[in-house]
Order: sequence, then C-alpha cells, then structure tokens
Amino acid sequence: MTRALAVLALFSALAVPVLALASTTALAAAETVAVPGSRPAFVSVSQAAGLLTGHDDTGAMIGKVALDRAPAVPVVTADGGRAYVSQPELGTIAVVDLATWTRGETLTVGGQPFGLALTRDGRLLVADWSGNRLVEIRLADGAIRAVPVGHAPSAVVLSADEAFAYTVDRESDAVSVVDLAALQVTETIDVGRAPFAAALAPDGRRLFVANVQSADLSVIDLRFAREIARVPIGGMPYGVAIDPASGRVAVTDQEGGRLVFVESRSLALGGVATVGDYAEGVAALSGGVFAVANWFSDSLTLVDPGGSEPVRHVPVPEGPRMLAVVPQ
Amino acid sequence: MRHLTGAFAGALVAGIVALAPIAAEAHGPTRQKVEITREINAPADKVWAAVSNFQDLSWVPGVAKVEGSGSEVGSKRTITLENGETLTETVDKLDAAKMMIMYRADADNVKFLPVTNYSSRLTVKANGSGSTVTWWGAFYRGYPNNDPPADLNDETALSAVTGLYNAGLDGLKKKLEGGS
Repeated sequence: MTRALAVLALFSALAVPVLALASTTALAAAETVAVPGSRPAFVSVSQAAGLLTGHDDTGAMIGKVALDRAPAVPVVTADGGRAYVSQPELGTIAVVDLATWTRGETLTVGGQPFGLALTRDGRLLVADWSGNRLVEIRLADGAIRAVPVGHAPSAVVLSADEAFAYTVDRESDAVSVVDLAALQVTETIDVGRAPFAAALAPDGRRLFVANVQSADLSVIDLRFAREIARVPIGGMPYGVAIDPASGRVAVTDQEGGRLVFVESRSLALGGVATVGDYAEGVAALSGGVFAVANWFSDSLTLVDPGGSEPVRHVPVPEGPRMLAVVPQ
Repeated sequence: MRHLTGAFAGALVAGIVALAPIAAEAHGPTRQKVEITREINAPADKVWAAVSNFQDLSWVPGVAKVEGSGSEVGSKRTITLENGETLTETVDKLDAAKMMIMYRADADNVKFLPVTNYSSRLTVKANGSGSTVTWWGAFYRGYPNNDPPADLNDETALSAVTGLYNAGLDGLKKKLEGGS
C-alpha cells in the first residue's frame, strides 16, 4: 500500500506555475493579511471564496490566505503553527503557515480528500470521500498508506490514545474503527442515516455522531464499539463539537439554522440557539463559547455558553463551511 | 418516498457507474449556491400570496403541470416539465410573518435539473409600494465525483439553476405587474 507522496511545491519558485495550473479561480496566492504576533483562536474555510481565514476569540478576522479551489476542511497542528486544508475538487491538501499567513506546499492525495485529523507524532489522516478509504500521510517523509473504509467517508476522528481512528461513512450509515498500527478496520458501528461529522467526548469514552438524514445524534460507547443512544436533534445535523471543560455538546442543524445543545453525560437537551442559514461547521472556543460557520449566510455566529442568544455575527468571505480550533 | 440506503445503494453505485440515476443522498463534497433577486411593482402581500402557493407554478416557463395539495410544512408537489421529466418537492419551512418558504427535492432527477440534494427558498420583502423577491438555491452538481462529464459539472448546475430562477422571476414579475 505504500507509495510515494508527491510534494508539488515546497515554498519554492515551483509553487507559482503549479498553482497557476491547478486553478483558474484562485486568488493571488500572495494575498495575505496578518497582524504580526497574534495567533488566531480558530480558523475557518470559505469554500466559494477559496480562502482560509483566522479569527480571534471575538470572531474578528486577523489573517487570511488564498488556497487553490473549493477548500473544505481544516486541521491545525498541536503547536498551532500550521494548518492543513483539504481540497476535494483537486485531490490535494494545502498547507498554511499560521505564524506568517503564507501558503506552504501542496500534498497530493488523489480521490476527494475531505475530513482530516492529525496525530501528535505527525501523521495526517485523510478521509477520501469518493475513494472510500482512509489515507495516512507521514508528514516527515511523505510516506503514504491507505485502508478501505465505508462508503463516502466525510470525517475522521482520533481516539484519545491515538491508537484508533474513526471514520464517519456517510453513505454506509456507519462508523469504521481503524486500528492505526495495523491500518485495518476492526469494527463497523451502525449509526443513523447519512452521518457526516463526529466529536470525541473529553474523557475519550464516547463518540458523538451527527446524522444528517435521520435528524439525530448517535452516541457511541467506544469500549464496546456500539451505539448506545440516539438523541433527536431535528432538521439536518451537519456538525458537532464538544466544550472540553463542561462536556457540553453542540450540534448544528443546517435545515433549521440552529445550534442545539446536549449534555454529554445525561444526554438531555440543553437549549437551542438561532444561528445563520445552512449552519455547518462548529468549534468549541475557550470559555465555553461555540463558533458556527453559516454557509449560506456567509457569516460566523458565536454563541455564548450561558444563553441561547448568539453573542456575535461576523461576516466572512463567501461559503464558510468548516472550522478548527487553534491550540494556544 | 424512500431513498436507497446502505449496502444496496453502494452496490448499485459500484455496479452501474456512469448511467445510473444517483441515489438522493449521494453527492459530492462541494455545494453550490445561487441567489437571484427581482424588484416587482406589486404589494408584498400580493407577491407573497403568489410565491407561497406551493401548488401554482404557472409563472415558471416550461412547467406542464403541478400535482399535489397544500402549502403547509410537509406539503408535496410533483412538477412535470414540458419535456416529461418530473421532480417531487416538499415544503420544509414556512414563515408567513417573514414571508419565507423553503422546500427541497425528495429525490434527484438530473434530467429535470442537473443537480443533486437540491433545496430552495423564496423570500418577499416590502420595498416602498413594491416588493423585492429573492429565490435562493443550494445544491451539488449532478455528478458527485471529480472529473464530471460536461452535462453534470458545476458550471452546468449553476447555469441551469440560474436560468430557471431568472426565467421564473421574470414570469412572476410579468404575472403580477400585469401585461408585458
């Protein structure tokens, strides 16, 4: 399964012709805005605009960088220094230096790379939507391995000890458990219809899975590798994030433009906030605040932990989809 | 209407790659958006009455007939085009106070409209003595994987929905303003 990873460009003159070939819609790659010395609290991907943007904890934009075409999902390194962003239409991953807000190399994966996760020892896990596989890239040397999973994997989440990865297989209505040492699927866990996103509980014991078509949240007990509960959310659940301090689970309902809260232990509903149109990605910021990307509204909504009212709406470039917290 | 699910849909897609109709929930990773606005010289309540009547598409060119009943959340209509292709849509949300109706296709038919997972929304806002109507659409291209054929790519999807909304809103304007 091992094959060489094609690194198209390494901060070199090669980057210019490669980018020019890769896309006709890309903005000038040099277009960046950055406040020196400031680290974003989270990053957001604007798919139609082709941008990665950085935001402080009030949502204000403090940096941006142009990517190639239709970027989808970001993931950030544990030191907060770099972001990797999937570009499913191109079969590639774009790398961004978050300290300087400059564009780095492009990793070619093939297929339709979508959901991403990063291990602490520097392996990038990629859910290949149309390839029905999980791809592992060792970033130090580009070594690449892959394993078939279910149909149309849209997200990948690591176990607390990083021994396992869980892929959310949208068109199989299942989660695949992948043993990362052997790179083998060891279990397949049935969930609701059209699962799209997942988040790990702070104690690492439960995985919460947002099911778009069955309008609910699957709760998986990872010790037994089975679904133990299904929490009704309503509408079309597309994103899920968990506040590590309180354990509060937040689920976006894309159809209703809502953020629905669930208590992670009791699984009781804990309130609803109105956000923007076609809410998709959600991230847990510090202080229990959640940020939501509203794809149709071209905005982010920040929701306060205490109440159901949004604390702030922030306009962003066209088509925001997915968010990632930047470790501080 | 039930969707194909799970292993059966997977087997179908794997077995009949290019020509099979795509199951309703199979789509690619990149969603597209269209938003078209028209100013109509008619009061907002009159415009809202027209766009919120889910069973009347007399203002959209190319529609042969609409079958169904009701204009409430959950109401369905089956549209037949003059070319014989059909699409069934269901009302998802209706807010008379905000003059907003949102609906989605129950299943894809790329011969009706070359898109998948299509949803749409119409809003009316009063603008002086007239109205502003906005027709929004959200969808994926007809072919879910990369390297789509030309008749199922992003440009074709965007162009088809844009064309539909422009023609429909022109028809609505003509119907409500009276004459041509």
